[in-house]
Amino acid sequence: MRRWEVRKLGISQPLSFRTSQFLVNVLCVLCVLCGELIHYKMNIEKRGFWSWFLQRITALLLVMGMSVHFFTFHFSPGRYASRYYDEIIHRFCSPGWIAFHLCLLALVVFHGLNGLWGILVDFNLSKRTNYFLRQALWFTGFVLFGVGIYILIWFATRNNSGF
Amino acid sequence: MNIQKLKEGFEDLIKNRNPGMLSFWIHRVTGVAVTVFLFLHIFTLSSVFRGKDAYDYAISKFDTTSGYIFQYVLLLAVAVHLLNGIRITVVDFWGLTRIQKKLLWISLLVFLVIAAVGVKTVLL
Repeated sequence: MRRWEVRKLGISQPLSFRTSQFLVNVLCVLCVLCGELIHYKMNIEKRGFWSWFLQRITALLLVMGMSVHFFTFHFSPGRYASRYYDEIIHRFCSPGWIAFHLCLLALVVFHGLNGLWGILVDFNLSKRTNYFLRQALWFTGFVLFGVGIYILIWFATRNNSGF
Repeated sequence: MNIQKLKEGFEDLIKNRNPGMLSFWIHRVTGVAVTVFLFLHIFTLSSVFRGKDAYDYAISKFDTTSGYIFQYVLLLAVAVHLLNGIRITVVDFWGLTRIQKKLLWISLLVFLVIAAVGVKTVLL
């Protein structure tokens, strides 16, 4: 769909796909640089740092992302509050919204499962159980993320007339 | 041994009457609850693979009275977790451990505002 067609439908297009991609790349690089700098300055033990650090970074990003998601999809009066099929299809014509939801999905899955990992670490389990649970969480994360992406692609590739 | 640890954890919660301990437990419980909801959310959205009608039917389950109450509880859980998480992140990165209690009261105040606004936008 062309940009003028999206504007004609009256759908808000927060960012173009290229801009979103570029911003995400810049953000990732900044996170890695910040993490390495904090790691170097604090001179701390290697294990568990990235889990701790990324949990906070994803939390801060999720504050903004979830506010937008909740306002536009769940708790706002008016036409944007609708979650039914036709309205979702209209909204996912915009690559900006698709990119936004892709990033949101990755952040939520990582933050949630990393949080579960943090709880499990507190139980001081054996090395073998730790290893098994860690692999299970990674697997669950990939499956959730994969299903989520598939759903997004499904919505994005449907046309306005539905099935 | 793990059940023992859970028991000790609950005993800590009851005996250690400290707002920090309560906020720690609420943060954990809401975090686990919202993660479980994530699974339900993706499962609900995956009904789109069975067709438009199946998807609209699944979404219509959230447009009932119990659905609105469920969404309101979800809003409260996310708000609590979000505000407490901001407090924890601010304390971690800026070392503001001395004013943790003040930050907790501020986040409680913001939570009450969100809860009040949520009554209007979700329940009514």
